[in-house]
Amino acid sequence: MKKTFLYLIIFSILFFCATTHAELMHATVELKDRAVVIGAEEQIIEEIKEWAGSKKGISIEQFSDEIQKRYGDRVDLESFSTAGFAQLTFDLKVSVHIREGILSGKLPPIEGLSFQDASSVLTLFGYKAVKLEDFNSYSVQEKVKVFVDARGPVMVLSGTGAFDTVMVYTTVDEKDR
Amino acid sequence: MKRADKINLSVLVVLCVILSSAFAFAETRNITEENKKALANVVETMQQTEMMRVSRGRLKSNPVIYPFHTIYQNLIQNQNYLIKNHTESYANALSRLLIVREDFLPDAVSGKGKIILDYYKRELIRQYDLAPQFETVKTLLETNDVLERSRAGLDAIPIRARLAFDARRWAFVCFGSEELPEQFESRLDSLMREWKPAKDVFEVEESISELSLAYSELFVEISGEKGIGK
Repeated sequence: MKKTFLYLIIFSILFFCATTHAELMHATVELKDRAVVIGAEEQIIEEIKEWAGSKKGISIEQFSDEIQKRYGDRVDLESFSTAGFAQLTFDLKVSVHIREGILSGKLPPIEGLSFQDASSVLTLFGYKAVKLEDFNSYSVQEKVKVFVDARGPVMVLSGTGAFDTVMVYTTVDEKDR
Repeated sequence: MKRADKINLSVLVVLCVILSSAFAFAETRNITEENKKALANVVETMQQTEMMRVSRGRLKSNPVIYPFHTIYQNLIQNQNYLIKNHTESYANALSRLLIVREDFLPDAVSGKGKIILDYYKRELIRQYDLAPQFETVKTLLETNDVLERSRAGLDAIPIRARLAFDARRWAFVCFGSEELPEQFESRLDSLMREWKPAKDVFEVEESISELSLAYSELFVEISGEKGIGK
């Protein structure tokens, strides 16, 4: 009986450890030629931000080497290829009614679909779809993260019920392509 | 007459027959005139039928008109105006179809794209030609419906063409090749021919939304097959 109880406690502890993990936070650090999205525990992020603040001129290679040395795999780094964070703007490239976009050949057939299905179709063509209300609620850092994930234009879908408008947001780099 | 001369003569006769039959088949149709006559005939016939019907078998000099009075009056008195509007719809649809061709170059002029464009041009003629569509009408109201459906059908053809070309454009991106898979091509082909007849702007909107959704669902299926989404 005692043995079973002991096993139960051990399993509970193991289960608790397996399911509980520190929640990753995201923050953006501005370097000389890049904006870097850091995903890590809050405390680590604070340390990195403090350290990076004192070394503004550091390059991305030096930055990632230093982070790797200090924290190993506990930090996710995604660098964003832009000249500087100040220049990273979310330009509205085109805002088009969905029917108009399809009839002009600019959008794939996504009319009448739910957000989930439309998102699947857009993913098929390498686009990332975001709901307008989500996009508007994102902080700048989260928007950077969306663009980093998308690796290209981001399609922001809006509308009541079934969405009816698609806004294609790009970064400066994408727009110049 | 020598044998060689006889052969030459028979060849000449055969050529003449072929040539005359070719000219006979190549006779130009004036569909606008045909439409005008067909409308006049059908209205006259239906007018008689309606009079018989509404007066319980007795012919009267003035037909008894029910709530569709305006439609009846329009059909009886404004046939030239109706045909003019119908012809304008055809002309508009044709010019819009040519713009579609320009917008979807080079797809619209090569291979299957050219076949699609030719299909929609034939579909324009089919929608424009009223005589076959009048064959089944039984009342003046139905005659008016045929006219409305024909005009709405003409207006919708360039939009249907755009939906078809848009789907093809993105399908090429999706499959990344010059040729589309046969199964997918046949699905596109059946969607191209799909059209729920509509007789006013609201029904046209409904039909186009349904068609557009059908194209969208086809792409959802492809994304599913490629392991994206569902």
